[in-house]
Amino acid sequence: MASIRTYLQSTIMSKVIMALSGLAVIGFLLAHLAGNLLVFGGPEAINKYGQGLRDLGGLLWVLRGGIVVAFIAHIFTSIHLKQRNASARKVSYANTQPVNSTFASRTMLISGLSILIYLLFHLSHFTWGMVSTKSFNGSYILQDGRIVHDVYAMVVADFQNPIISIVYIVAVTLVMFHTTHAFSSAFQTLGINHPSYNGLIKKAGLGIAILFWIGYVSIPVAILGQFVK
Amino acid sequence: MKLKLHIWRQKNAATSGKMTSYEMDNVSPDMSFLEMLDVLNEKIIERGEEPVAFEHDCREGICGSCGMMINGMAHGPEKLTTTCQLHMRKFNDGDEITIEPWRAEAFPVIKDLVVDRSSFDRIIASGGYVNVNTGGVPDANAIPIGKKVADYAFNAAACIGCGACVAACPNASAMLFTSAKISHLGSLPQGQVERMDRVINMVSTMDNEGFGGCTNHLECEAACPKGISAEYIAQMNRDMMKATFTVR
Amino acid sequence: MQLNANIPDGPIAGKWDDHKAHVKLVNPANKRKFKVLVVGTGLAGASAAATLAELGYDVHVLTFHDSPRRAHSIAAQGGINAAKNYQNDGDSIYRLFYDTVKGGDFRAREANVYRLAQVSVNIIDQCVAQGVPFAREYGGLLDNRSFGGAQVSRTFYAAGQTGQQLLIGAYQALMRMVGAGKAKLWAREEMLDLVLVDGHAKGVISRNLVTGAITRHAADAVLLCTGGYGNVFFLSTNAKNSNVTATYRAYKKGAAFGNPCYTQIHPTCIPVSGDHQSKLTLMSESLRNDGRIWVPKTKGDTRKPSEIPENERDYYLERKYPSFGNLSPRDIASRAAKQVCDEGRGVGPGGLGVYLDFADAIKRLGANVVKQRYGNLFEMYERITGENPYEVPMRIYPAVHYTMGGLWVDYNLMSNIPGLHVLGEANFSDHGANRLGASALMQGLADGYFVIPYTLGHYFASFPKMNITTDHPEFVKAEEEVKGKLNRLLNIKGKRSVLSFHRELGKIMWDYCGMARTKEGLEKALELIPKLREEFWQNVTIPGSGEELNQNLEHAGRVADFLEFAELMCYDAHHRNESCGGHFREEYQTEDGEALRNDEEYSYVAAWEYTGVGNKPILHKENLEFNEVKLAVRSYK
Repeated sequence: MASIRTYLQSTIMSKVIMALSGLAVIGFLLAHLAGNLLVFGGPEAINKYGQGLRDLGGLLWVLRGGIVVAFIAHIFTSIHLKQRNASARKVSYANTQPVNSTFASRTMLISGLSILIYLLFHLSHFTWGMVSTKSFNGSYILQDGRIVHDVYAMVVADFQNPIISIVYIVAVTLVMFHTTHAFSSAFQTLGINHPSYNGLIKKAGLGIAILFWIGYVSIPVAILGQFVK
Repeated sequence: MKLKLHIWRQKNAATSGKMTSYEMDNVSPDMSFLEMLDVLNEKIIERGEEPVAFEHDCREGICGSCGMMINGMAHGPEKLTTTCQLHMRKFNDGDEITIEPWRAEAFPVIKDLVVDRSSFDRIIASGGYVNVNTGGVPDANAIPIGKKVADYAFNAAACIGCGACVAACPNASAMLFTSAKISHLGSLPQGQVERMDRVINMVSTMDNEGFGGCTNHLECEAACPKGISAEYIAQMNRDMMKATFTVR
Repeated sequence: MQLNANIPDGPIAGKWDDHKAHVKLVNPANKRKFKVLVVGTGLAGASAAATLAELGYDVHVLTFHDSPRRAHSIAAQGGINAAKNYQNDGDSIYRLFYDTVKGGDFRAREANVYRLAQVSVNIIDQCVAQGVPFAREYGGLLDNRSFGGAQVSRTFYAAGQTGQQLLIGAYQALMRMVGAGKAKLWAREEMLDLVLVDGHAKGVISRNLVTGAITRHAADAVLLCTGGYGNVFFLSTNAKNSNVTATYRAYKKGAAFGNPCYTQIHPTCIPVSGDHQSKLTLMSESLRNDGRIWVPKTKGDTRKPSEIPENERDYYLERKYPSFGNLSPRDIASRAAKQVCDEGRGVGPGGLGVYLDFADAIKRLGANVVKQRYGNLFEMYERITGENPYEVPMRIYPAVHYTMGGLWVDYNLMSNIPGLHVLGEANFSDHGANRLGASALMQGLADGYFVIPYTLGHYFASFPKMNITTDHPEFVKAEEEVKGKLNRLLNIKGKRSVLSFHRELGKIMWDYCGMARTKEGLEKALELIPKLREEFWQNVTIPGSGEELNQNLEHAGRVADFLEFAELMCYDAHHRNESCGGHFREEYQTEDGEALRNDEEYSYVAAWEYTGVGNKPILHKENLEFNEVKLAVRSYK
């Protein structure tokens, strides 16, 4: 008998890592969306939320650490699996006719890597402030008098740039595609498959993907459309 | 009817192959796909050339010998059907048909459309059985098994080992095949004793044979001539997770 | 040639137990020193190989398939008989024994059949322990169905794929031994000759079908588990690659061939659809449990079946055999179908078909129950014919299905060549002149799991071990012969394909040695076959070489043997001046067209000895004694 380590490197356990880390990312995206939508509540709401996160202190770093680990695990395992899968069929078919697979399922790696590239941009933009220093360095005075980072102004200012918004919308669209396959796939990988609730899982996956798209896209659209100023 | 066939021709494992085209006329709709190839081969032999090698035996959809990619679909366009049971009435006059061997590194091509599927045997040899010797077993009715459980196990055991799941999978994964055996035995009382060891051993053999991993496209399920469900892959995954942390 | 059946003394019920208690044994530590070659991995071969490896013998298994799981046992649909009496309907070992002897038209060896019925119960236990998913009742116990030739429900089944499930069970047991290094598997390896040393079977010569490499295998015993020869008819329900080569080569080396003319014609097959036809597809006999067989009462009635009113239909099996009706044994049902078609009342293209109608069953049980029972068979029928059997009756016609004849073996399953054992369909032993449904699986597994493990040791312990190596001159000679024959075939470079010869031979055999035979017809066949054989050896063409995968070369070797074997069949059919079971001679029938046996003169096994290609073989007789069953006219009325 080999060790747990070898078992974890098996195709199945690698996929379990993909599924668990993927579900963690979906969880993060849901929370992130909830926070972002506070932009519709005006500067006070979102800035207070932003400060609230920072006030978590050590816990915030634990959460950030967790999500970073999930991302890294997800990315590296996918590359490892992709290499494996590519070497499992070196000569490809002259003709293939997909039956059950979907566009989303066949493009997971491309959508995933594109999302990764965008993610780095997104982080350097809104987290590290490397894209537009001016809007990033603004500050806001909360009703309780505390001076905090002005998330609201930053978001509104930057999304008024149509290029930034369009790139963002494209990225969110990729996230949607990625999620349509990812969600139900994760359940299947984790062994959660039963005729009585498979339909529900499928619908939930689609629902979450659409929710991501509507939720995330609504922000730049609202800003470009001057609904949020 | 008239057909144009594009068939993969490859002399042996050591040489590379290519697609070759053949014209066919007078194809009867009542012919099976393999009978159509028989007729083609008779014509090729008449011309003094080497006929197309393909595997077949029972020609009634149960031995699992036959199998080819027909227009990009494992066993062709008809669901729940092996190549030998596919009939030409599923095609139309003037159709072009591409015919390729199963493609997977774990299924090396031997000649033309014939591939080596002995990796499947090695997966079974590594744990796809109940460890009992002949004789000294209890009376058959001493182990009652509910009809639903028996049917569930039977549906997994219906696998004929043709390899269509691997051929159809974009990753050339053998998960459907392997999970069918793991689930067949793992869901019966007789298979409980070694359930965890079985999944560990069969999955590691499957991986070592060079099959890809599952990315849940479910092309396997669509291609399987016996309608084996990806539900069994989920069961294998559950067993594997449990085994990873519990097997000694 | 000496034929000694070696039937143990004593009352029939105790023969096997007594024999097991007295056979010689091989010490467990010595078993690994005995190498056993098992040729073929169907039910008999796989079960024997697995069991012998478990016992500790050094087992080598040859199969020409890519995997042992592909053997044709896999195609058996209906079920496996066992005298379990789980249904409490009066079954017993004696009744299964009696039904089998009677079903075989009193041409089987009583002691063998009794043993078969005895071990049938162990088979089911063994298979269940292996995880074979037999059909079950809601309460969790095993389900049974009834089958032709029996009035009890003793058939265990797994939907319409019992053969597949049983074979996979045996295959798994074998692969377990392969994985453990206790059995060595030679896949894609075809046996081309048997090697005898001092009169004992001590090895085989095989060809690797991928590389063409010829290998000499030396062993202490050889087990042929190579199935039947139905493909001599070209069109049969057998798998395309099933052939007579292994047993025929053994026959040429001196093994007696028993009852080669006994061929079973299965009544429920899908009719031929055209000249391209490459094989015939069986629809399980279990369909006759609920389907009703009929033809129109009037000749040449071309109306659609739905337009023929009830009183203009002839449910001829129910009419002629009221107590067994649609479940009459196979030979009887087949012949009855032929009769009505000969009368011009057949249906479908060419008038070669009868209806198998499920309308009543659907009315009585509902389409759902019918679907549950036969769904997969109905789908298969529709795929092949393009007709939906839920709406129009199936059309069926008899087709060659099984061969009761085979190499002669004694009670220990050993042929007249010491060391050469023959199991399953390849031997002649248990089914007499006709096999009952669901008995082939039973025999294959009985031989492999429960008989040979006892009797093989007896052979080893009875003779001094020879320790032959492959350098022995007999191996050198046999290899040269094999290579010579392959080269001869490749160098003919004629004009006709192997397939065309096989088709032509099949037609001769079907016309003159098929469902009904006559003296004149058989004599005609005996003229035609040698001519065809001669043409074959002058005019066959085989593209490619012998050092690669060459399916035509494989086929050519098999057809070459069929071309010789066909004559043997005809000689046997010609000499047997009676009708019994699957052998129906038109000259010998009762007034109402039933088979007319001649127990006085033909109550024996015809075991033929080879005398050279084209020469009439020598007939040897093993007289059959019936002490338990009274010889009677077989009536299913």
